[in-house]
Amino acid sequence: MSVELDVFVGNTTIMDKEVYQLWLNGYTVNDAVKVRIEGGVMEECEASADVLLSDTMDQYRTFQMCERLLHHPAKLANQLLFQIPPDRQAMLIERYYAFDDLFVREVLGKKLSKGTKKDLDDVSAKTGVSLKSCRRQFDNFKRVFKVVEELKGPLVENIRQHFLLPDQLARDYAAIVFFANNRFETGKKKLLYLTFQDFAFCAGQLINHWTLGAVDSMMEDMDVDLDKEFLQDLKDLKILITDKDLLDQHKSLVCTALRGKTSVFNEMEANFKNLSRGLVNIAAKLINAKDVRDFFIDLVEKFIEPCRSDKWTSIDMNLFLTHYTNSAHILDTFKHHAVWTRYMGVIKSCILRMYHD
Amino acid sequence: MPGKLKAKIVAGRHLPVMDRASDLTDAFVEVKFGNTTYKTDVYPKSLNPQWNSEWFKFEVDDEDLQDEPLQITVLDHDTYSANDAIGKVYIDIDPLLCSEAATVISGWLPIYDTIHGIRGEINVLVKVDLFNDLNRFRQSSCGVKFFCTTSIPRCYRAIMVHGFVEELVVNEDPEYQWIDRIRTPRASNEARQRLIFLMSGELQRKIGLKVLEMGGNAVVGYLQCFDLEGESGLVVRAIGTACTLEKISTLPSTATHQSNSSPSKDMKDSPQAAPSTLGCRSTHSSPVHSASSRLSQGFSVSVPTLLFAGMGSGGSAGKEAGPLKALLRQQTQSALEQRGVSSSSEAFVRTGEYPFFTLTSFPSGFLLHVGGVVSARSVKLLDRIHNPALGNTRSYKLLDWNSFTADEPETRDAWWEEIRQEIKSHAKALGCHAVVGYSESTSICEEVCILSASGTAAILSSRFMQDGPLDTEHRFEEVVPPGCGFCHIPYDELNIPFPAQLTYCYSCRRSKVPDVLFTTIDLPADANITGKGCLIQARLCRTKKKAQGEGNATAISNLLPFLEYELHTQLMNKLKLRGMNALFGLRIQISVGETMLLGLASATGVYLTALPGPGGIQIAGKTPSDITYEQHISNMQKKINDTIAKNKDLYEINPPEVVEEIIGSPIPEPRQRSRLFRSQSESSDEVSELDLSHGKKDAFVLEIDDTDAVEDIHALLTDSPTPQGFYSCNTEIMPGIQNWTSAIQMFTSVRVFRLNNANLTNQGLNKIFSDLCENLLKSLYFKLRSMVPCCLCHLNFTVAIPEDELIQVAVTAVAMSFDKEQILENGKQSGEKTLTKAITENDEQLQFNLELNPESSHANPLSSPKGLSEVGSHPSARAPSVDYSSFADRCSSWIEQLRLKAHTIRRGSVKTTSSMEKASPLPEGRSRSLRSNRSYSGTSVAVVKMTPLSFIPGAKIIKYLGIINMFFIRETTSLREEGGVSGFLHSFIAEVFAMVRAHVAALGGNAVVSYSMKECVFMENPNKNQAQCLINVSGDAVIFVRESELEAASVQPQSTTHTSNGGEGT
Repeated sequence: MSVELDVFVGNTTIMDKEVYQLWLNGYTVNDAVKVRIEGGVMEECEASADVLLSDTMDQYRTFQMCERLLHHPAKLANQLLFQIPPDRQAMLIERYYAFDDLFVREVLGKKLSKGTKKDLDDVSAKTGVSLKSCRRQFDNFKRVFKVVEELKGPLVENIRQHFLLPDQLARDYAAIVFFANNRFETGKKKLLYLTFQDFAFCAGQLINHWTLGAVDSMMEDMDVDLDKEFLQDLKDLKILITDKDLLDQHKSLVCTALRGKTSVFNEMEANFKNLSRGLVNIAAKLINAKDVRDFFIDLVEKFIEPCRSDKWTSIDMNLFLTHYTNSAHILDTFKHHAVWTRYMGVIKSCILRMYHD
Repeated sequence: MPGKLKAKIVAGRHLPVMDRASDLTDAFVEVKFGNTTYKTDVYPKSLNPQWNSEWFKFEVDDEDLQDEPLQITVLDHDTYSANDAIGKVYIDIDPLLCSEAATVISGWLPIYDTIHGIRGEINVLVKVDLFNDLNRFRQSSCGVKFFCTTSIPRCYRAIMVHGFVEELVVNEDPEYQWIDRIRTPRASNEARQRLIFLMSGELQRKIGLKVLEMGGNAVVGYLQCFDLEGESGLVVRAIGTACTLEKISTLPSTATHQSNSSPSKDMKDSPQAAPSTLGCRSTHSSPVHSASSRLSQGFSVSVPTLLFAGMGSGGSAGKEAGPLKALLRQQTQSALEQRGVSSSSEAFVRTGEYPFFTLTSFPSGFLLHVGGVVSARSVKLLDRIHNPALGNTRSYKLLDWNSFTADEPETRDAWWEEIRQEIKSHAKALGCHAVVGYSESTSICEEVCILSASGTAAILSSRFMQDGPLDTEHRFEEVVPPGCGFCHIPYDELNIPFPAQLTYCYSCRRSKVPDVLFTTIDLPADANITGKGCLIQARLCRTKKKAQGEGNATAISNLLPFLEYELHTQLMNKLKLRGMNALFGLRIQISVGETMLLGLASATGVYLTALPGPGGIQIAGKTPSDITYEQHISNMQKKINDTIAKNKDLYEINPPEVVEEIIGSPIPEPRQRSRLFRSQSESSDEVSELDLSHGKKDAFVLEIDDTDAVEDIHALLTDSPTPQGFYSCNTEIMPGIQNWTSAIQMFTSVRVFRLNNANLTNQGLNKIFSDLCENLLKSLYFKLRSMVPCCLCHLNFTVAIPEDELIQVAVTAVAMSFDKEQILENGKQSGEKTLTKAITENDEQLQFNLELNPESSHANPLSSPKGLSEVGSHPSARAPSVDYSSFADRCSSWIEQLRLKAHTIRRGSVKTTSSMEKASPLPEGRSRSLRSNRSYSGTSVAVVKMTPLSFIPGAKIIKYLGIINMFFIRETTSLREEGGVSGFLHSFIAEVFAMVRAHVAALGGNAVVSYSMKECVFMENPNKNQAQCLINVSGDAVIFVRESELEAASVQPQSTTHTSNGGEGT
């Protein structure tokens, strides 16, 4: 004796948020039932395990049928099959596109290819996120990437419009797409202390200031690629370290400004040339795609680590970077003010964000 | 050319990819009506084509307009091979033919394929220009409005209720044509879908004609069903109630209207009408041979019919059945003979023959008295059709069966005729001249078909009726008190057709009422009730030996009376267990399978203030000497008493105490009570001499010496109570709850259960079946827990036995939230609460005593109101051990009456002549929710509400756009890939909902009311990875406006009536 068929269809599609989350997390029906039983829903509603199983199966089926629509969230609004209230639709989409920071940290900057997808079981094992969920998240990244890759206009806005995501989530996706497109290295050991949100913040900075779209949103090209012209111009900054006079002047200006204001003054003074060289060299090399990938590792190795070993505080860091940036403008032979501002603005905020344990 | 149909194909979206190479589609559209087809251009390489076609124009007869659907086919153009069909859309243009309904169909409609389901959407515009005055074209019935709603639709007022209309159309089922062997499943499904569309259209047109004949302009309570008889064909049949409705407006009615609805003159103006379409009754069905011989063999008309009167049921069978059958046969045959030779007008006279009404709720003052439930069943053998005329090239066309059936008296029509006659005579036996809440159904298994009809015998006010339908002798013009009048017995107290316990009405004290009342209608809006109601279900499974043909039919007809009896017993017990005294919306479904019969009776129990309180249930054992046994019994008794007490609490049943005991004992001397059990139990002989009316005892006695009875008691007690915050009923609204919020959720749930164990006992099966239903309910409560406090209304269960070991249960209902604050608001009784409680306790005490000392019970001073439900506790009254006193034997009496009135039955009424003398505008209670005449404002939202009820809480229906009647087939050959049977059916039901919503939206509507899923036939073959499902749904498309939106602008003439109460079942 067995229930052969068991369906429930409402005119308004009934979806339980909790079950949806379990489904998204990759639980099997039976595991989901167990979790629900532990959650105490049974006592609440005088239900039995059978009822719970039936309900869970039914919901899972509904989600599976909806999944195809969730791949193109815009369709969810004008499809006729399921009558779902708008707030529910928003919830479905938001949760479907939500991801685990742990997981995204693993694939951030990797090529969203079949090869990467094959390795997801390792990622799953490492992060504790179920493989099903990993796949969904990975496919989401890839889908968003594919759609916005070809689109003109601001990246975040495009994502928000095409996938109907809330602002913050759209920004995160912009970061993921941006990282995937530029293949930034994020997996090196030295970078492991950085969270996804750190990178997302940096990505936001880069997108807002270093891409072509940042200068002119009407431009043909879009937000996913860095502004080539700007990268070219960055080479000019080399003068700050190649010209001995300029370097010395720069140093003395910064030192004058900082004297007495920081506890790590001596270390700063001693290290100034190295640090400045590090930052300017990063700028000068960014024209090479390979070096773009190493942008973050370079920042850490060339700047953050030395400072950390000298026990700078973030206040020290802030002070230094502010004066370091501003002093360059006072140098009489230094002409590349615009490029310098554009470069250092991003570098400063990235470093400040990345400077933690 | 009375009509021009115009269609424009605007665009498509979300089309499937038809060309793998390009991932795109080259789509074009064929628009077909009748035999004319137009095509759009091909819109290349797009999944969202913009055709923006010209207007395609079809010049057609309005008859065709009614019969045919507009068929839109979307195809993928292929240069080298045949074009691939993407899918189809059938558009019923009937709503456009009525000036008061929709004017244009415009919107996105799902493109449907029977193999792939919905494949994108198409945007179309459809209009109809009718050239001529509608009234002159009587072969069509354009302009007759159809409503599924079983009450007077909310924005209309009934000028006249004309009565019963019925029609049926038969054709060969395309699935069983020889050509089906060589065509694709898709072609076969499409042929079937199209055929049913055509047949429905024709049926509706013909019913419309009858309505016009009767002088009406609308059909209310339109119920269309189809019977898949397999090889013997496909029957589409419909019943309804013809009415003359008038739109409620500020203008005081009628001038235009009257001219409109006095068609007798018009009829004569267009004489071609009658002979051409009406004369040939294409409704006749299979040319069954040897029908009459079967009849005499005694299984073709098994007539194990029941008549549930106020308090019980009586079975006809045995000796009485014989003459009855003979009589019926005689009648029907003579009627048929007449029909055969007579002209069409004769045929029309017939329609007035049955004073039946498919309505379940009525304008106030219409329903005077209710007698009780009447039902009739009959088992028939379907015969194979061997007819050379079938299967020819006209197969897509409706076949005119007239030629074959002229000399075949045994037709589907005649079958129903028989049943209706019987219903009518049952009603007469109850002293009633009408049957309300009438419905018909069938259950088919292989070649056996059970036809069932049921309704509620009643006396109606002639205010709304013409002279025709009712016997003059029964015309009552008395004024009945609104709150209780309908409970007053319609039959003669001294000559009641069954033994009944009558008391004076507890409300008005003037007339007699029965102790229990069963009905198939909704609770009248003005009825006085105590507490709240609840869903009561009786479930039963009976095994049956596999058999063929006549033997099978005989076996089934032999089982039916027992089935009905037990269902009735269960209902009665459960009713008492809940401390209630009346059932509304009773619907008994009997489903037949190869090895079993299923019976499911659903109803909503209520405590009618006018009726006496129910007695308790008392358990008695046969061997009182055994102490442990007695203990066991007293334990059980205690449990039952506890349950009753709990239920009374739960449903807030605290009837005001009736102090005076002057009522005396109005129990009339029962005539021939001895035959109480005749047909129901084999023991009829032993019982026949019993006087079951001895003494007056409070309780109903259950004897548990019998294992059956133990089962029964267990079943009684295992019905789990509804969880906190939930109520349920199968009527339009929950008695006792009024303040609905606007949150509604309609749903359909289907379960199929496989019995792997072949050798199950009846008890085992019963338990499984009962659990199945209970679990389903539990699941529903769980699913809908977020809506608490809420009530599941119109819970409509449908059972079927799709295969040998499968039981299918389908439920459609609506969950409605209500405001908690006022649910207790039944006002008056609060003060008496404590008092009543004391009495209840007292009662229980007494019951307990009773059980211990059965002898003393006679002396118990329980001539109180509660004491009236009678007990048959005589030791030898074993039978199926549950004895309810009210079980009636009314055979002889109604046979007599039948005989007397035989001639009136046959030609009881002529209604083609309509005098409109009663057309004066009536002040009308139903209009209470109509609050203003501000025009509607809300189609901006694409949301379409669906509900099986006739109203939407917190909203006002401002326009009826026409009937929705859709039939879909879905088939798959990749069952596993679609998620198994559940996945397959889940998406199909979702698709059906989607299509209903889309069509309603295209008509400009925002809701479907009176929605029902009338058929859900599911077949699977997992081994072949295949499944097929047929679904038939119907409802009324409407536009509603939220009352809150209207609030401001309401200058309301009807404000006084509005206050009476809200939300009941009009």
